[in-house]
Amino acid sequence: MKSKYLFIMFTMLFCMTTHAEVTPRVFSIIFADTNDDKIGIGAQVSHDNYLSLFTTIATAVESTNSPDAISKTGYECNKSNLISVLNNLQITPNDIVIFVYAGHGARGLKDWSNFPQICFAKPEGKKYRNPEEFYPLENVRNIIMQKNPRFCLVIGDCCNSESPSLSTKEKIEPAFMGIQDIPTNDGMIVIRNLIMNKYGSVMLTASIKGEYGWCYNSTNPQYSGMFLEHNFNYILQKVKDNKKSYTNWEELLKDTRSATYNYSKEAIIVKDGITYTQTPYYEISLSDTRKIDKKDSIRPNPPISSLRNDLVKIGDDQNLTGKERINLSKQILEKYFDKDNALVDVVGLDNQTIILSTTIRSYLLKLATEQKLANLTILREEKDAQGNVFYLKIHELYRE
Amino acid sequence: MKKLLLTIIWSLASIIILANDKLTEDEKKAITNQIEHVVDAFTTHLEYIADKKDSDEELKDYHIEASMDLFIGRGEKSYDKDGNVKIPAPLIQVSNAYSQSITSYLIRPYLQTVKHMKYTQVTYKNSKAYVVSDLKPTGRDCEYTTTLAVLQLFIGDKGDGVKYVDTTDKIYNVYVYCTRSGNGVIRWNVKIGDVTVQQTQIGNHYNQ
Repeated sequence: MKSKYLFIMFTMLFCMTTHAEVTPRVFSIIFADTNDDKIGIGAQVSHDNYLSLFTTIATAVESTNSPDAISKTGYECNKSNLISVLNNLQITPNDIVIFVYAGHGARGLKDWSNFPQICFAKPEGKKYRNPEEFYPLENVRNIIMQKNPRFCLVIGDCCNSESPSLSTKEKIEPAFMGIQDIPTNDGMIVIRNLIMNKYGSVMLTASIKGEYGWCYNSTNPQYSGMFLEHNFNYILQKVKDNKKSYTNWEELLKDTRSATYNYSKEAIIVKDGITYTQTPYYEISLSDTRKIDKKDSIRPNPPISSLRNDLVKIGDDQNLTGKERINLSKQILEKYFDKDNALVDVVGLDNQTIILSTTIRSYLLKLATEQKLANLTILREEKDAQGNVFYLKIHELYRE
Repeated sequence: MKKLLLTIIWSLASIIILANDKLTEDEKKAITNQIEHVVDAFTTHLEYIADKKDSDEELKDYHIEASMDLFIGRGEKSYDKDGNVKIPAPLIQVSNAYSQSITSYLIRPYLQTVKHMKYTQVTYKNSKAYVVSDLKPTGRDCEYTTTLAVLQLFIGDKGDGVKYVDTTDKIYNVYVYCTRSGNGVIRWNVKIGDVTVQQTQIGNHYNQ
């Protein structure tokens, strides 16, 4: 009898540890070829918009312990860094991984994959790209999925053309900006359901086999950015505004595909006398259940200490008292900043316009007394030789 | 003659700068959202500073300082680069619905008054701020103004069973201005100017 009770207790305990609702972590990775002469500025804009998208997703899935996004731009956008980042990715079965590449892409004539190869940035001091440095986008997904996350989203915002030479890929047309409105609670629930209700991967790239992935004119940085990024964000904005309630990825990506195709058609892209359109390609591999090895049991992960997480904590009016938030802001000032006049720029809904420029002291006071801050993204962080932060560029996300 | 030529060149340069200041639709949207956010942030601070249930004086002082950051010149006069007063210290109007009187305060003394109001219970409730006029250039380089409307409910309870209740339509004047760095980065800031009373009524008309 006693052993029967013990068995039931153990079973209950096991169920509690394996099925308890544990907050997922969102691992976000972006590689962007921001140095490129032609598309660098656009890739930088896309980079910032994707960083904000990562924050939106982390907020939607109520992740409070996600690590900072891994961002590799300029010369850091290279193959060895990609392999190193993927190899060092330590995730548990409850985690979400989002990977984005924004830059040039191409495919070999005999490539079997529907997805392109990443054409990494030119090495420092070199005039040309090294094809040995190209890397199949599909491999990125495969490596991530071997680590068994609950959900993985891979986005390749690049060409998928067979041309061995890389095209200019320019078009002078303004387009949609990034996410522009404060999300409704219902909209965030839609995003949460898309990510949390199924297990597996979603992979999306700017164009089908043989097509170019176009972007906007680099002379107008206000509107530069990849077609895919704009349209994917545009569709997600609809989700956030709850103007359209998507219940599955197929529906959402179908709309992304048609929005991008229609836009490219209306823009009338002509290069060397040929008219081009752009059709994003995606593969969805999701299921309702999955297997988890015993050794990979889902456990809560301790919060990760970082400037971003600490800033979000200061703004947390739900779980901390006003006094705690003020005290925390003082600690953060000492921990990361040498001078209290370090510059903070906050960008607006378009991710571009600086709508507040202030000192870190004033910004921390704002955060500590602020209501409804849901999350924030650090778009740029500059440090002096001693490691003290002297500049921050931030995008804030507020609750409805 | 040389002076005249310099004046003409200077005027032309100013016109070019002003012409380049035209806000794009995306900038306007981002700035308008920030304008509403700033006014909402102030009214939220006001509710906290007035709240008698939370008697943490030190914390209220932090909210006062955060409020001051939201006003042009931190509530003091703003000067131009030649030391002349560019914008006078902003004032906030307070009305009495019974006497129909209006008094103007400087921002800091007003917030101190709100903090020390002699009621046992105070409720400030503010509607969400909404922009009521387009961004208008002030004529100064890179500077615009606009106005927002907020409906404010005030309930003061002295604990003797008598409550003072009024509802006031307030207009927030807001300045939007930019600075340009050497590398061409434009930084906008949004600051509150004068806050005026449009009308005040006895009783709770907040939800009507």
